[in-house]
Order: sequence, then structure tokens, then C-alpha cells
Amino acid sequence: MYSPEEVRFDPGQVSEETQSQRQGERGKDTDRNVLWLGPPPFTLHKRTESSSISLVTGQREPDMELPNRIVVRLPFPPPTHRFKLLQQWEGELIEIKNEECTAILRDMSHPENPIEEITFSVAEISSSDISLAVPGSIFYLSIGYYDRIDGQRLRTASIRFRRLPAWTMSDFKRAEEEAEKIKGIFGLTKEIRSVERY
Amino acid sequence: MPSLELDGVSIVLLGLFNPAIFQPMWFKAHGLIRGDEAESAQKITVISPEISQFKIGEFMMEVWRERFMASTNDATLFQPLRDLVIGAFSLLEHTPIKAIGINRTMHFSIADIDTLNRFGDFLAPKDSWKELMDTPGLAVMIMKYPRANPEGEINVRIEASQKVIPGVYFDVNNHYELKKEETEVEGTMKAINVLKDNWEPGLLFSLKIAEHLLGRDY
Amino acid sequence: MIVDSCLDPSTRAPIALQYLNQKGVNVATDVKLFLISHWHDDHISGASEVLRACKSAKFVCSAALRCNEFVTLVSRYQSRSMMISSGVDEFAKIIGELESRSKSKKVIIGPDTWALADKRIFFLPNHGIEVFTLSPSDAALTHSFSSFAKLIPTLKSTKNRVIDLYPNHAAVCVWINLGKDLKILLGADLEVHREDSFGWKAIFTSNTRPAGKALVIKVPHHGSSNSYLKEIWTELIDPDPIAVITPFTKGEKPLPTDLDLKNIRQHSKRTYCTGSRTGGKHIKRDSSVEKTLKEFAKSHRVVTGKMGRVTVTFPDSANITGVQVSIQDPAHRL
Repeated sequence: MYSPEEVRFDPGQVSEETQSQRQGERGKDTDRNVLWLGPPPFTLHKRTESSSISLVTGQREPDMELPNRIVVRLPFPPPTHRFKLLQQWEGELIEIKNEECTAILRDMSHPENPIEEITFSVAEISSSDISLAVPGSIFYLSIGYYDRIDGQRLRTASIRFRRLPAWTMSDFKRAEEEAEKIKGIFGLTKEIRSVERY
Repeated sequence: MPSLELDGVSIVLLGLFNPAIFQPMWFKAHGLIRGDEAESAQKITVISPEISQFKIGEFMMEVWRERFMASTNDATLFQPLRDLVIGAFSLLEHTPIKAIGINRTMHFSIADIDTLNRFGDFLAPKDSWKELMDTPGLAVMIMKYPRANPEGEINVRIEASQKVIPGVYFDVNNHYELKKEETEVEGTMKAINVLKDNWEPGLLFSLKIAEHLLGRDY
Repeated sequence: MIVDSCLDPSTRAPIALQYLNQKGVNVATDVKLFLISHWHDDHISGASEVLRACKSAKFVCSAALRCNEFVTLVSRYQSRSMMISSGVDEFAKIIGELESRSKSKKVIIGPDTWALADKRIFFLPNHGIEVFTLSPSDAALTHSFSSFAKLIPTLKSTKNRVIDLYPNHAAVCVWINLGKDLKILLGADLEVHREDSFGWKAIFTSNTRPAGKALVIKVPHHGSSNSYLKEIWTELIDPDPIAVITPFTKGEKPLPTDLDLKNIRQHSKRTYCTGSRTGGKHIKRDSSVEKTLKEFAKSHRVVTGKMGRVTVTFPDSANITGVQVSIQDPAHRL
């Protein structure tokens, strides 16, 4: 039986609940509710012993099941800017020397175009990406118009390096199965000493 | 040719998820986003067993128990969005995934209202309707195209844009069904392979659909 | 016989198959040998498609690849890396093709022949045709294993593309005898090393290599100074050879340089290059893009241009004086 109470969302309390879930426990059901800020797909009812009173209309309604938890969505904050893309490439860094990067570019906006090569200053790479900038790393180079929220338009070129999870034991285990197949095709036997190092 | 003014993509996965896992610091811990992006993740977030919803930089993520969605409206981040989802699910390799959608939403500006109306007439000729009503207008059109390999379909939704006026809005949904695999890992890998192999062609085809129709005489 | 593979930039199809199909060759039955000189991008693109099409061809690759280290490298990048590393990926596809061949023949078949120094890999006695591989040497073989080991990703390292390692000790040089007098040397990317047991020195100091001097040479490693040694030309090559160079347009120093050409031309008055040394034509883009790129980049150029062709034709292998060389733009005589 629920007493009428205001539906309220408290992000702090929800975060605490999340801590235990991060450790792999299933969260327990609580009777905490979350605020709905979008058009509701249902009407809220207060349950009484014999029937429900609609909080919307105030009229007595036949008994209806009220969910334990009312989970709602919050709208995403509006964008802080817009970007009008004019051209984009996927690049592969082939060399870094004397604060200069040399990279091969593949045109993503027009894939039929041939491969290009570019050199640019290391200073063009953001500090959060600089550790990723090694030969063989992949990045995206984008050119376009950056429209700020105050209306100012800027013409920009930006680089962002590709991020993938680091190599894991799971990756290596999968690869072992593949490796055994290839060894069979190559006629390599298990007696040949492996020099794999992790 | 009408100009593409607003462009967005989203990746939607249907399956079984634990929303509580998905939060900015988890992505940061695995090197899938920049450190400063995670730090500056929007404060208004929901992390709970039922739903996880947050914004990291210009990536938006919303995870329910049976639905995962990651999206962005920043065209420089389309590829990084794909990498983010591939990266996340290569770590969560035991997630059962049964379908995947790669969606592109585009708003094109049109010269004027008359041109917009002519485009509507081109998509849906009004002659038969005018026999019954005075000023019929096209509100929404949805075209479906089944795909055999990989199995799934393409749904194209066209309507007048509410954000670019006058303008046309295209919502192209590339839907992929993943056959029930023997193990959860194979299902996750299949979803990752769909993203790897179909991302660029899918997005290019979505743009091609819009440009093909808008480029006609009307 | 097909040696190496690359893709036509405009059709994305293997250029060797395109050419042979144009000539009316039935690649499924008439191609007897397909050799990959090494696994770098520019020599292996489209190779799996060639192997699939040339069903009757024996497949040959460097014995240096037959090691746990290379297998580990290929298997790790193939299975879960999510990175497309062209050379390694293509080799993985080749392995897939070999596996298909195994299934159809119900026996395990790897490469038909592993290339090693001074090894005859093909012989048609009625036509006087012999094909030898001149490398890798035994020392190069051993060294290659540790080179591959350096490329193997380690636990918790970042996923990146496999980079090409130089010098390339695993590269396969090919020597072809057509009849009694006509010999051809295909230099691959083999380089000169300070040790006699590696690279070109190992070849011309070998006393078990095929005899004679080649009239036609595909100049090694894009004519670079790393692969130039006077003795290659004096010991292995005819005094009046036909030399063909394929340019390499990527990187800080496109090849061949003017100095490289000067070295080569002192040995060959008939030197040809298959394409432009400066890359392709500039791509015209929106003025905002051009302007921004100019501000951002210190240099920018197109590296892959249209592919040219140098065709060397001998009407009769017994009469090498009747040789004809034809070129297709942008190939040119230097």
C-alpha cells in the first residue's frame, strides 16, 4: 500500500546503489522513484484499500497495479556547439621525428580518392591523446565549421586518436585457437619451442 | 542541392544489459574515452539497475535492461562512437545481443516552403487525394527495404524538419538481426563485426538515399 | 607466373588478374605459380583474391614466415584486434584460402613451397623454364624470427596497426631462366647488409646459386641506396640490362631519389620507371578545406597515382636480341 508521496529523484542516493553493482552484485529493488520529465506513458495512481484515486484527475479509478519502481528518462542537456563537417580522413601515423608527425590519410568523405600523405606538428595533438601517438596508431582528421553556442563560427581542423581496449588475455586466448589452426596448415608441430612473451 | 545542416548517428543494441556497469569512469578506466571527457561528464546522470543515462563530451548513452543506445550529433565523432561501442562490448563479451541498429538522422535545409511542398508532392503525389480533400499534405513517409545478407532491413523515415525550417528530416535505420548463436561470446563478436564491416557503407548509403531523393527534379 | 600483388586504385581489383584477363589468359588453369616475396602492404594487397582465382597455381612464400612468431602475430591481429593491418590481414586471408584448398583435397596443404636461398621451386624441362628463389639466407631466416617477435603485441599494450620492419630479411628474390640465355632477376625489397650472410651479399657470394647474368632486372627496394651495391650489377646482371623500377612515394624520402637513379643508370642505359616518383595529381576540394589543410599541415600530397606498366617481350627465348619494351602511361623511360 502506498501513501501519497511526492516523486523525487536523488542522484546521490542512486550513485551509492551503483557502487555495489559495480562489484557485481545485483541491486536490490527499492521503492525509490525517479522523476519523469518527459510525457509519461502512464498515469500515476495512489492505491487505497478498495480502489485507486488518480492523482491526475482526482477521480476514483478501478484497482490497478502500480509498478514497484517508476523509472523515467531525463532529457539530455542541449548540445554546447554544432559542427558542420566538410571533410574527414582516417589517418595512420607512420613516423614522429623532430616534433613532426608523418601520416598516411584515407579519405572517408570520398573513399574513391587515392591515398594521401601529410606532415603536421605534434602540437596539433591534444594533451589527452598525445600518449596514443605512436607509429601504427590511427586517428581521425576532421575539417569543418565549429558553431559555438554564442553564435561564433570557427573554421577548424581537429585530430582525435582511435581508442580501443588494450590487449587482454581473452584476446590472446582466442588467438591461440586460430594460431593452432595456422600451425597445422604450416606444418609446425608443438615440439618447436615458442618464444611468445606476454 | 540542399545542404546537410544537422547530422547525427546512433547505435542501438537489443539484448540483455546491466545498465549499472555503464558509466563515465568505467569507459575512462578502460581507455575508451579521454580522461578529461570523463571528468567533465554531465552531472545530471542516472546510474541504476534499470537505466543508465549520461553524456560524455558529445557522446550520449542510454542503457536499459534490454536496450543499449549510444549516439552523437557531432559528425567528427561518428567513427569514435563506433569505436566506443566496439570497445565496450569487446570487454563485455558475454553480453547477449540479438539485434543491432545503425541509425543516421539528417536535417537538410530547403530553399523555401514552396520547394518543400514540391518535394512532398514528388514523394507522395496528391492527385488522388485531392479528389477527396482540399489541401492534403504529406506528414510522414516511411519506406522499408528488407535485406537478405546480412539479415535485417532498412527503414527510411522522411518528414519536414522541426529544427531546420524550411527543411527535410531523414531518419535512416539500418537494422541487423543476429541469429541465435551457440555462445554469448559469438553473439557479441557478431555484433562487433556488424559494426566493423557495415558502419562506413551503412552511413554512406544513408546519406546517398537522402541526396538521391533531394537531388531529383521536383 | 605471378609475383606479388597490388590493387588497381580505380577498380580495387588485383592488377595482375586484370592484366592476365585482358590478355585472354585463363588464370584458373594457366597460372602455374604464385609467389609472395614478403608480407608488406604494397606487395600483398589482393593476394588472397589472386590465390582464389589461380586454382592451379602453386603458392610460394618465404620460409621465414614459417615460425611460431609470425603465426602468433597473424593470429592475434586476425582474431580480435579490430584493427585492419593490411599486410597481416591479407596474409590471414591467404591462410583462409589455403584452408579451403585443404578441405577440398582432404589433406592439410600449406604453401606448396617455402622459399629459401638457392632453391629451385619450378621446372618445366620441355620449355627450359626454371624458377629459383635466391633468398632468404639461413642467417636471414633466423634473424627474421626475432624480428617478428618484436611485432607481437603484449598484454595491456595499445592496439595499433602492425608497422613494416626494415631491413626486410624475409624478402624473397626470384631468378628465372627462360631457355639457355634469357635470365630475369626480381629483386623484391631485399637490401644490402654489412654481414655477408645477409641480403644481397649472401646472394652474390653464394656458390650454389644459378649461374649466369640476368638481362632483365626488377630493381630491388624501389631503387633505394639501401639495396644498391656495385657487385649486384657486376656479378649478377648483364652489362646491357633492362632495368625496371617501381617507385615508392610514401614517407619522408620517396624512392628512387635522383642519386639512386644516377647509381642505377651507370649500369643500365635502358632504365624504366612504372609510375610517377612524386605521387598522384592533387585532389581539388572545397576552398575552405584547402585553406584549412594548408594552415594545418606542413606538407600534403597524394601518394598513389595512376598505375603504369612496363612490358618486356621476348618473341623467342632463344633470341634475346629481339626484346621489345613497351610502356603504359605514367610509366616512362628514365
